Parts: sequence; C-alpha cells; structure tokens
Amino acid sequence: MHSKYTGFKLRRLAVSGISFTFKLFMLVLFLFPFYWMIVTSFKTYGGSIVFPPTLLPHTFTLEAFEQVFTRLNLWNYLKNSVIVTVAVIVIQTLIGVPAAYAFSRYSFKGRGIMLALVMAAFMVPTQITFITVYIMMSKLRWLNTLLPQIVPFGASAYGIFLLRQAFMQVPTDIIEAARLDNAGEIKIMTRIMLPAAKSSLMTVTLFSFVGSWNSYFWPLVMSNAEKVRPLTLAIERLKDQDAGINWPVIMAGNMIMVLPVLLIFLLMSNKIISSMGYRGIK
Amino acid sequence: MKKLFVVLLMGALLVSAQGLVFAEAVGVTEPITITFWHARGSTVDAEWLANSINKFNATNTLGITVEGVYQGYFSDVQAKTLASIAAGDPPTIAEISCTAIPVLATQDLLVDLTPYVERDGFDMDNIVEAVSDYIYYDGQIITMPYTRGTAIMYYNKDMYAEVGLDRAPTTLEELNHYAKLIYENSDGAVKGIGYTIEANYYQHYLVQSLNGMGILDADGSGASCLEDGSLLQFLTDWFEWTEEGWCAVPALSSASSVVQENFNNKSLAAFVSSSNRATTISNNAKANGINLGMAFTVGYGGYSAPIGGGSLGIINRGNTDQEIAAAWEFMKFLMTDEQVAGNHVATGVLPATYSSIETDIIQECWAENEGYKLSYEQLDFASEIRFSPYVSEWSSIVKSAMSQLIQGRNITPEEVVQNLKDEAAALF
Repeated sequence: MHSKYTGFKLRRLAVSGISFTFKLFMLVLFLFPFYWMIVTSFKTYGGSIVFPPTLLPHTFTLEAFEQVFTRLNLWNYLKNSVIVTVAVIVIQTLIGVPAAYAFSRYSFKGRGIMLALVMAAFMVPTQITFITVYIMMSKLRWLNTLLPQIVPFGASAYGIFLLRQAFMQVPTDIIEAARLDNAGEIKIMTRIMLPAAKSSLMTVTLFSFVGSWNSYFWPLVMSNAEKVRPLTLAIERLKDQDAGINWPVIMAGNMIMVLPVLLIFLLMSNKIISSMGYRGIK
Repeated sequence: MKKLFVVLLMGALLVSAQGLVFAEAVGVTEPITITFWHARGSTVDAEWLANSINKFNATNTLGITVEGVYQGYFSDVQAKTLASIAAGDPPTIAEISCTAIPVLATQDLLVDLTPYVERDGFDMDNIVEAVSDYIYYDGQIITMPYTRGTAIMYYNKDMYAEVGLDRAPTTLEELNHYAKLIYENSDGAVKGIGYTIEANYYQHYLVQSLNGMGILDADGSGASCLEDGSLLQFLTDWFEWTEEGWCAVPALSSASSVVQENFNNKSLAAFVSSSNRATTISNNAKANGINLGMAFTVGYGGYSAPIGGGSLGIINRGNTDQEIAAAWEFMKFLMTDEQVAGNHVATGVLPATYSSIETDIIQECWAENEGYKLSYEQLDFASEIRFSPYVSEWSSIVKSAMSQLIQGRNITPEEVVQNLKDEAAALF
C-alpha cells in the first residue's frame, strides 16, 4: 500500500516535472527573441557583432535609440501608422458588424452565394490582387495619400466570418423577445448581439490592429511618397543592408514598433482567450 | 482641292512626327514639383542626398521642388518604375542601375537629353570616359552617371602583415595564397577572403580576367564563357576555395551585411565590396579598431575590376514637358562639380566628371585617404558589363546558378554550366 502510494506520487512528480520543463522551454522559446531584441538595442554596434555573442551588453548605451530618432522623421511615420490602423479598424467594424448580423440572422436570396464570395475573398492573398489594385489607385490619383492603405481593407472577410459565427451562437429566443418589445434591428445588433459577441469583436479588432500596424508589403507597393509611409517602412529603412546592418539600431526601431502591439495584447489577452475558448466548447 | 487636303494632311503628320522624334528642350515657366525615386537608403547616402535635394530646392530660381522617395534597392526601383509607368503614374526622374538601363532604354522609356545638353552647352567630354558606356543608346543621351561605383578589396592590413604580406596583393593567386595562410594560422577561426554573389559585378570581373569578356559577350547577345571553359574553371575554383574553408561561403540572406560583420568582428580578413560603401566601411572598421586597407581587386594573373552602380534617367511616359525640363535642371545641379565632388567624398561613389577631380574637395580627401583615390585610379583597367537588354535577366539566372553551387552545394560546376547553357539557349 505504502509503496503503491509512493509510486503514484513519484509518477505525479515526474509528470509535473516534465510538464514544468516543457512549459519553461516554450516560455524561453517565445520570450527569447524579445529578450534578444531588448538587449541588442542597448548594445554598441561592436558589441552586437562580437563572436561568440553575449547575453548582456558589455557597454550599456542609448545610442541606438538616438540614431532612430535622428535618422528618421519618426513622428510622421508614427502618425501615418496610427491613422491607417484606426481608420481600418473603425471602417471594418462599421461594415463587418452589420454584414455579419445580416448573414447570421436574415434569410435572403443569394445569401449562400454572398457568403461564399466573402469566404473566397478570405482565401485570396494580396499578392494576387495588388497589381490591379495598384493600377486602380494610380488612376484615382490616390497613391500619394493614405487611402490605398485604408480603403482596400475596409471590409475584412475574416472579421465578417468570425462575427457571424459569434452572432449565430446568440439564442433566437432572446432576439424574438427583443422584437416583441419593439426593439429595432440596430438596437438588437448593438444592444444584444455585440455585447454577446464582445470577445469575438475584440479578437477581430486585435487581428485588424496587428495586421494594419505590421503591414509592410502593401504600403511599400501603394505609397510613392515618404509623407504617406507607415512606421514599418521607416524601420526597414534603418536596415542599411549593403553597408552592414547596424543591429542595435534595427532592434531599437523594432522595440518602438512592437511596443504598442505588446501593450494592447496584454490588455486584451483575457478577452481573446475567452473568445477562443467559448467557440471551442460550442 | 482633294490634292491640297492630302498635301496639308501629310504636312501636318510630318510636323507632328518631327515633334515626336526631335523633342525640343523647353524651359521651366512656373513653380513645379517633381519626384525622384532612388535607392540611396544607407545612412551616409541618405544624408548626402537629403542635403543635395534641400540645397537644390532652396537655391533654384525656377520654383522647382524635388521630392525624393527611397524605393528600396536598385531592383526595387526598377520594378516600381516599370509598374508605375504601366499604371501611368511614374516618377519624373529615377536612379537606375546599369542592369536596368537597357531594359528601360530599349522600350524607349527614357527621355533623350540631347536637346537639353545642346541648349545648355553641357560638356559631355567632361564626363569620365570609364563611366560613360551607359549614357548613350541609339544615338541618344539617356542617362547621367550619378552613383557609379567599382568593386574594391577591403582588407585587414594587420592580419595580412602577420602572414608576411605587408602590401596589397597584386594577383588572385597571391591573394588566395595569403588568405589560406591566415585561415591555417588561426586554426580555421578566420577566413581569408569572402565574396557575395553579384554575378554581373564581382563574379563578372573574375571571369573576365580569364576570358577578357566576363559573363556576357561583347555584343551582349551571348555568353561564350559557357563554351570556352572560363566559367567552368572559375566555378570549380570558387567551389574548391570554399570547400577548403579559407574562402567564406556567402550567407543565405543579407550576405553583404554578414560579410562586413565578420570583417568587423575579425573573423574575416578581406572582402570585396563596392567603392560606394567606402565611407561606411571605413567608419565601422575604425570603430572596431581595424587597420583597414583598400586595394585594387585582383583577378587571375593581375588586376581586374568591374564598374557598376546607378545613373540618373528621366522617364518620358506620364510626365509633362515642364516636369521633364525641371528634372533636367535637377540633373544638371547634381552634375555640378560641387555636388559630384561632395557625393564622392561623403559616400565613396566614383567622381563622374574630370573637372570635379580638380576641386579642393576631392584633392584634400585624396591627400588624406588613399582608398578613395584608388577607386578612381582603378578605372584604368575596370570595365562595365555589356549594354544589353539581356543583362538583367542573364545576371539573375547566373546568380541563381552560382547560389545553387556555392550556397546550396547540391550540384557540380559541370552541371551548373550545362544548366546555364540550356538557359542561354532559351534566352539569347
């Protein structure tokens, strides 16, 4: 009896030991790039290329951050990134919520085809559409404005799909009861559906934010003037590849770039996890 | 009456046709903004260009404003310029690489500058002959040299002196011998030499030292290096050098940067890079305590070097006469002695005019830094890859093949040459 109990304890200890080791490994795996980015940004150029590399800077310096601010008109790029990201999120919400509501709660002619079209749009990569969109934007004389970075992303197929799935989970009885109480469709959508799908909305918003904030290829193609370029293109400009990459400067730029994403993720992480979990159970 | 009408119509057609073929130089009559797409993104390049643009915008009396737009590397500028022309919204003026000029010129996408040159008495004889090949096409003046460069060897003087070479090598055989000694003396910790893969630049001059031609024939429509054994010999040698370990294998990404990092952390004793990076490379070497030497590049049996870099071209589609005239004014400004000399001293690009070399700016720089002078002197034996519409695609094909051999290491030199023969048969 005693040995059986001891064996059980040992097995449990071994399992939790393996589990702990695995979690620790995963933690290091995911956090190390961030650690490396932070540490490198405080190194000198010489310190960043020394072999073997060091885990801590020999000489702690803020020189790289100074260079980022002196080499780039950072505020202009930052302003563009914020305008584009906010505009995309707002427009996507204004279009995506009613569209998802309609797809989830209305029966109308062609609904299946329209939903299939939305799903098809979800699957088409931007690399396929950018030439035609570029020509379109050029003919509209929009290339020196922020519009090409905003308008094509005004509707998100992924967002519509995710919100539709969330809206479908709201019991029909609640909607019927609201209608009996003379609630209009907009009221039902904003007062019943959206609060019920808050987690999904948060997820869609976060993904839109990350997508827009980190967008590189699209603004590279769609902008022909420095004044409309976002932060991603400015950070890339720090690369100076042909003349030797100055890693501390790149990492300092990346820190400035990544900080808002990390902050928002930390603030919204509970909502995202609960949104995923909810659909998983369903 | 009918005959008179036909005669008048023919006359009108002739006049309009003449207008197309012999475009007249016009003057800038009103304030105007033009765009300049370029590839000058590195710190020193961007600073110098920003200064140039600011100065031009502030001092020109015609009300011209230039907006400089960095578009990435030369290949990005080429791709975006072609796309923007197709979309009808091109830049007014662009910095175009040697490989891209034939692509644009053969499609008649560059303005013939001859009327402007003649009107303003711009002295074409003042342009350094060695960098003038890509200026002319089909009897027209289509570009002006701006960021032209040549490959030079950057080496750690102390490391080479330690193994017995207290001067720059004069042949490839000598360079390789000492590179090998450095590698052996350091027990493999330090590579003796490193090349990145730029088929139409670094590898071109090495092949050229074997066949006198490089990777493309003189008429630009063939590659006899595939048949005469020169490319096979070079590829076999390069593969063996890397196999023996003393010649560094280029990194799969950011190879140029990695080579310089290895040089700066003293795990590489020498590398070949463009003279256009001389300032940055010098600054980094100084910061890392390296006794930097700059030397002529060497090929089999002696000196051999390429010329490359970028030129200025005005796009003749989607731009008005006024925009073209404004671009010419900006081009002329960049070709003044002060600008040419300043560009050379600030960044390392080749001085493109003879008169700029006589300025105090350059003479003082050369007196203090032999390396900058050396890049100019190297033009005596350096040559450009042939002007050909095939140069861009062929360079890309050869580069991929070299990458497969040197980086992929899953193919033999003989197979590379055979594959290239098949590609050449389809291309030329």
